[in-house]
Amino acid sequence: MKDLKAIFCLILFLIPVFYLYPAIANENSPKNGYELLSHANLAYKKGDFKSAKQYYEKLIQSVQTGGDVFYNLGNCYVRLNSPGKAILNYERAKRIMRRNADLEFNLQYVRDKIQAGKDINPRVFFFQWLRNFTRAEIIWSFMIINLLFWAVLILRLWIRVEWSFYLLLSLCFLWLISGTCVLSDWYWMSHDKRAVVINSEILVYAGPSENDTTLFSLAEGTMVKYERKEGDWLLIRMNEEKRGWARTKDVESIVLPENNSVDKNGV
Amino acid sequence: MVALRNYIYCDLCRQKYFLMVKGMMVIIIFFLLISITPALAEISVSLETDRTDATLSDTVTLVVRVQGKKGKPPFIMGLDHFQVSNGGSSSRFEMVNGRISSEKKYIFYITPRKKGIFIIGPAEVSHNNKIYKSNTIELKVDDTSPLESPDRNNPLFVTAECSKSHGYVGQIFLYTLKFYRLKSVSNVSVDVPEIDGLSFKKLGDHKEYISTIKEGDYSVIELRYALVADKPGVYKITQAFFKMNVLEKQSRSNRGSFFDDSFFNITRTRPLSIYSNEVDLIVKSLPKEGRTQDFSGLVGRFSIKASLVPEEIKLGESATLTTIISGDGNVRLIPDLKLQELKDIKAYADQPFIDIQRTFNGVSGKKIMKWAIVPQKEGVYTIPAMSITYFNPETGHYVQEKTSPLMLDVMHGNINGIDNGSGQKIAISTYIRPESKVYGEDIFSIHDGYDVLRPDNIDKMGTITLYIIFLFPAFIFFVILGIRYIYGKNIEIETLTAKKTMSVFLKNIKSLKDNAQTDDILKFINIYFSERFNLKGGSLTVSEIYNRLLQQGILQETAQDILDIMTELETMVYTGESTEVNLSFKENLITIIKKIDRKLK
Repeated sequence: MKDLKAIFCLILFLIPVFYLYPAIANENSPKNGYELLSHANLAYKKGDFKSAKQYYEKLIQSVQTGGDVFYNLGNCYVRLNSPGKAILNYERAKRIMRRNADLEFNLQYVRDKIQAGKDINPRVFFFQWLRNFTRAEIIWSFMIINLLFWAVLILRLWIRVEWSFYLLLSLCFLWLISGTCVLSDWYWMSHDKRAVVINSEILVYAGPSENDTTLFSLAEGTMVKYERKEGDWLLIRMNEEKRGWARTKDVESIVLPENNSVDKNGV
Repeated sequence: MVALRNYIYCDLCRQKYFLMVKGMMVIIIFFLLISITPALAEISVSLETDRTDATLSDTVTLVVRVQGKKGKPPFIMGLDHFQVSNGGSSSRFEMVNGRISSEKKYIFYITPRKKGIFIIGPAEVSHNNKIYKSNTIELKVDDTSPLESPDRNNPLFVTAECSKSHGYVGQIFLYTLKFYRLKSVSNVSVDVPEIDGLSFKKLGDHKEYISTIKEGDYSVIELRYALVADKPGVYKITQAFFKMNVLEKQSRSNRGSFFDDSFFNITRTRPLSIYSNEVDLIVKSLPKEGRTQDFSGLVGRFSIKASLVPEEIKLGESATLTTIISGDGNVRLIPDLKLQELKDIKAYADQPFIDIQRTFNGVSGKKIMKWAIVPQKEGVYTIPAMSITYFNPETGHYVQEKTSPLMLDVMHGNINGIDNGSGQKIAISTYIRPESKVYGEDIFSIHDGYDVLRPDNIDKMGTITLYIIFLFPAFIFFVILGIRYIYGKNIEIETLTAKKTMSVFLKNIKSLKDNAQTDDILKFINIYFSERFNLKGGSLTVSEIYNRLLQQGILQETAQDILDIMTELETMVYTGESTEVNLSFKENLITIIKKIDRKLK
């Protein structure tokens, strides 16, 4: 009977290990990833920004990368005088690296150069504040608090002392807060509707056709939010007053498309 | 004294006593403050009237305020040409932030007997052989009587007048509307005429006073507007009109009845509009003769003064040059003065401040301009005079007002020194170093470390793994909870059964008398073990009990003790040796059973 219990507990603890294995195994990135990266970096340093851009884009397509590659790609676009694409890639990098000083500086630099408007910030302070933390920080915080919370709950099955009650109460509060943060961040990451105007001076129409009335124009690098797509047209909104239809080739979403392709224009 | 002490020591009364003492203390302090503080304060007397111009038919309210000590009623000079009636007096006493002040206000109504300009005051108050004097007020009395107007016999009429019949562009005229009434009115509103080239701006709050016309005491509401013409021309200021509801009493027809009293009269309101007379105004353009280049369009009476603080500074310090232009007229057009460039002096201008006052007597104000003067070298500097030019409509000439030149003495600057090793000090002048110097602009370079390709460890885990990690602790908790629920139930039952068996045994044994029957004791022991070993309806022999106890981990010594006791009891019962056991036997048995019970699982 004792043996059975021990086996049962062992299985319980081994379950997450089996699941974690692929993650640990994934530690070894493809060899050609490093090869592409070194080619790209070398090309950039030589001043061949076009080749560097292509290598970085290929890298993003083939390997799961961090925000630094998007940052480097943004730099290539700055050098190639494509501020719209540069802002787009900096914003993509910012989704991963949320407090990187180099990134903040370069993004502001490009925006100042073309006198582009600021990022579309969430209206609620809590969501603005949450953007200061990386996804990993938020999730790790929740994981630790979650573990502590359930551990104290288990402990209280045997030890019902007063301090454990207050500890549980505090952890419960933290658990709710960190849980809300995780959910909010997940929602923002998966429902990020921001997009950037990547071509210079685009026209926005009242309907998804060039025959419709031209409402206004948008400069390259302007941040917009897209609402829906119809064929090759996107319904975009700059603010409450400026809303209209633009061509998908002119506006690119900050969230990468499903196939992870950065070459493909549009959302 | 004893009685008082007893009173104090009474618990209930003590509180009342302290409250009483506290209250008395507060009252004493209050009266001390009242009597002492005003006595310390100096007397000040002020004089004021509700207006500064009136007609022969008007009654002007004159108020004398005496602050500080209580003195005799005031004596007011300059009232020889007025009929004076006393309007009573009132006192005010207030304590603000621990400071006590008292004031007595004397009200008089004065009616002029002849036209002219009169100086009223000062009001004099004597106290302890000392005379305190107030300010004086200039009152202009005109003989312009509103009686000439055709409407003046009406109980309600309006007059309009302008302070001047002719003037200049930019000059401020006073347009006065007076509404005379003998009847009660409500919801009074005024519509001022709108004329191209003329602008009206209301001055202060309206005034109310009594004016006697044809032996009728009219209540007068006076409104005043600042009138400015943008361009020259002959203007006809059209009628201003007052809209109101007139309250009219309607008496009941049954004369002599009880309800004929005024108390029962019904008041009706009737909407009414009354128009004022028209006023003519001739506005001339400003003369070109005598106009200087720095003339900004100022019309009125203005003055300029400048000050430099401090007049002596050390090199590296700064002085403040303040220029104030003040006066009556179109204050808004006071120009921003420019300080002449000076050699070895840097001047930093502050934002000019303009303060415009619109009172019943007109528009006045001032403009304050400041410069920070920073000399670059030691020496004596002369800050040149500054000037303004305005047009005086009274004289019809341009006037230039100038400040005096100001001197600034700049002394040796603050010098820090370091020792050069030989005891002599090397002087190092302090200077301001720019925080940073910009040579170029560029973006930060690419990130090329090996960790660039390493994705976020959270991304590496994958969604399912994350779910597992999130849910795993909760899963463990519920598994433990389930196990506890299933196994905990049996353990609980067993524990309860064991506790119950022991308590039943103890209860049975204690219920026996001191000399208990041996067969009863034996029976209770058998019941205890049957229950404890979960033998429903069955019973064990002494040797079986012994063996079971050993199997359950009971010490052999303890098992032997109970074996001995039971064997002895059986012998007693079945051989008939003895039917009773003593108290010590019982106590010994309970001790052994308790020992066994603690050890049994």
